Amino acid sequence: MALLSVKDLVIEFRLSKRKNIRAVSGVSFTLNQGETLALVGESGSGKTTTALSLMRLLPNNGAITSGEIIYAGKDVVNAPDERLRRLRWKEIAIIFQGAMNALNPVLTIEKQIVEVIMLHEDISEIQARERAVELIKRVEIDPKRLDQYPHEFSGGMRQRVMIAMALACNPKIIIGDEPTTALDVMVQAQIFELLETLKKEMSLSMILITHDLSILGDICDKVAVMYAGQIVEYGDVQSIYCDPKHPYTEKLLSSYPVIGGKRGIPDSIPGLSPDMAEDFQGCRFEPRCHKALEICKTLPPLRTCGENHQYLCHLEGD
Amino acid sequence: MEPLIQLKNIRVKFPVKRGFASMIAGQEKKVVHAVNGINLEIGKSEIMALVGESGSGKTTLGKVITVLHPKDAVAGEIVFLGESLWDEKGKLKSGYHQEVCMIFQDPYQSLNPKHKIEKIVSEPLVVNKISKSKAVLRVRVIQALEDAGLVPAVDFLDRYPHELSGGQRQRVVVASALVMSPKLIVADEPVSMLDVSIRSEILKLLLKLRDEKGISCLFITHDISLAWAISDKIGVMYLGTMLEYGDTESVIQNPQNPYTRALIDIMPKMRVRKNEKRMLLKGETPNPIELPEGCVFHPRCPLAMACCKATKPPSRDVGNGHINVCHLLE
Repeated sequence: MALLSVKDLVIEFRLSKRKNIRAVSGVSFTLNQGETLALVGESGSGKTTTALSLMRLLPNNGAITSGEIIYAGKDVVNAPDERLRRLRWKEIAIIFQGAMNALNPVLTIEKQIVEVIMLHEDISEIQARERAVELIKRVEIDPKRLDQYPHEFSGGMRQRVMIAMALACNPKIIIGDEPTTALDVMVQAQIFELLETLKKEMSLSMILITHDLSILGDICDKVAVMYAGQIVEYGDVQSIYCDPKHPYTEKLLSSYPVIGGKRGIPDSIPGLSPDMAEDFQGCRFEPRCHKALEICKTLPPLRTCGENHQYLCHLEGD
Repeated sequence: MEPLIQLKNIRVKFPVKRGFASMIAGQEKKVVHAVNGINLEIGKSEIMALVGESGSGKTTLGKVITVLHPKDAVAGEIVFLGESLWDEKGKLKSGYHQEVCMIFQDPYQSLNPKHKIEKIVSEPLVVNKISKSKAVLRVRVIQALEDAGLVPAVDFLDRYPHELSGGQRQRVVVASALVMSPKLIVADEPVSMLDVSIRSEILKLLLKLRDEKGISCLFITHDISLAWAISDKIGVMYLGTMLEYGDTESVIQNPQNPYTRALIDIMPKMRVRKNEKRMLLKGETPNPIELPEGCVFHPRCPLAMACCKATKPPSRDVGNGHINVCHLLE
């Protein structure tokens, strides 16, 4: 059985009395033990919203209006507060975007990690400190640096601290919200290697939110490509890379220059993502699609090709 | 052919502010060695990419070219179109700021939200006292907007930055450089804040400016695959030093320096390679206050030898102006 399964999830935000925005409309995916799933998409595609809803961390004006989230056989959407408390951090933890801003600048690293542990677990401060030392060693930082402040750490180091905090209560699933976006390529590769090691050692599952399709092959097993609140293509990395079916995925993949490959300016996708307040009658990508046909003005069907590879498109792919 | 601009042995040092306590204690004044002896040449209608991690000094070098640093921080010589940039009295060549313009990284922060596009784009002309006549300004602004791909330009004049998309904003930033009719544009990470789907449009624009107007470009980026896509020449920087330099084809297809090799190897390759061994460097760029002895890269170099710790590596031409600064032979 899947560790986490999401089915037909719909999330709406209330902007004003009359205006609602449907940020996520009908998203389904599953995550198995030990797997890494990537939610990929441009800004505004609903990937962070989807991830936050897994821990029921949506802002006040946002709500899950339909669909289900099942974690380890139990419902999350209507979970009582007590269960939610456990779910957050002990079962599912998140590495927030922007390690630069996610740490408190006036507290030492040790205080911040100890705070997380003591908030969630009933142990003494001494024990919590011992755990902090262990955690910081896990992410390959010298424990002597525990008394230092965030400004004394580099970006990559701060991201490691964030990872240590996410691991503080031995979660089963870690959500990484653009964990390496602000970092250099070399540091990014180091962080990925660390996450990979931790995943194996602690048998973690991971959901990685990213806008960067090029990194998927280095870290993920499965990919869900999101556009305007929907998953438009879903499959394992190999099939997404080698046999993309949805025109959006195809275009996104060719937007990256591949070093040592053919030279020249990569593709771009003209136009902008649609306004989410709109009531969609057809394919959401149709206005920007290079393969659009007349039929694309109607809602596209979900097609399946091969095992676990699905896409939302009128065209049968080629 | 005479190059457009030549940098000779450029060094940039910034003093570190001392606290009162360390001043009384008589501690020595510390200096950040941001750029350490760089030679560089950019030809006419040529795109040169500077690649390196953060802290490698690439932006600092870009600002040396646009003369944005305090003068006493910079040492070395700059020759622009065969003439030294400063005369004997130390006065900057007149009109230089019109020849060389800079494009900044973040189009969400580099445009004044309270000004209309016309005012933003015409500002360089006003500041440089090129014209006061509104009609003249407007003609040049419209031309610049069109050259930057914002058509019809008239529609954009009265709009505010918040009404534009990220890609359009970056085009406005490019337009406010173009309005000066520059010969060289220094573009500091011009696409790193943009969504992937619109990046290429800005890259295409830079190529078009090179091909149609002969504008050279110094393209500063941490992403070596972007450099591969757009540049004619590449310089790989580390800790204020140029480690490898040459034609893009040659440097990328046949990298000599271990640092360049690692940078190329680590780039995502759009294929599944979870279990492949990659050339992952340990640690991060060290502090530029105390530079390592010998080769600046030796503490992180997987191939470092005894001589790398002791002596500065020679720079060697491996053919066709492809220069590698390293002790290792082929």
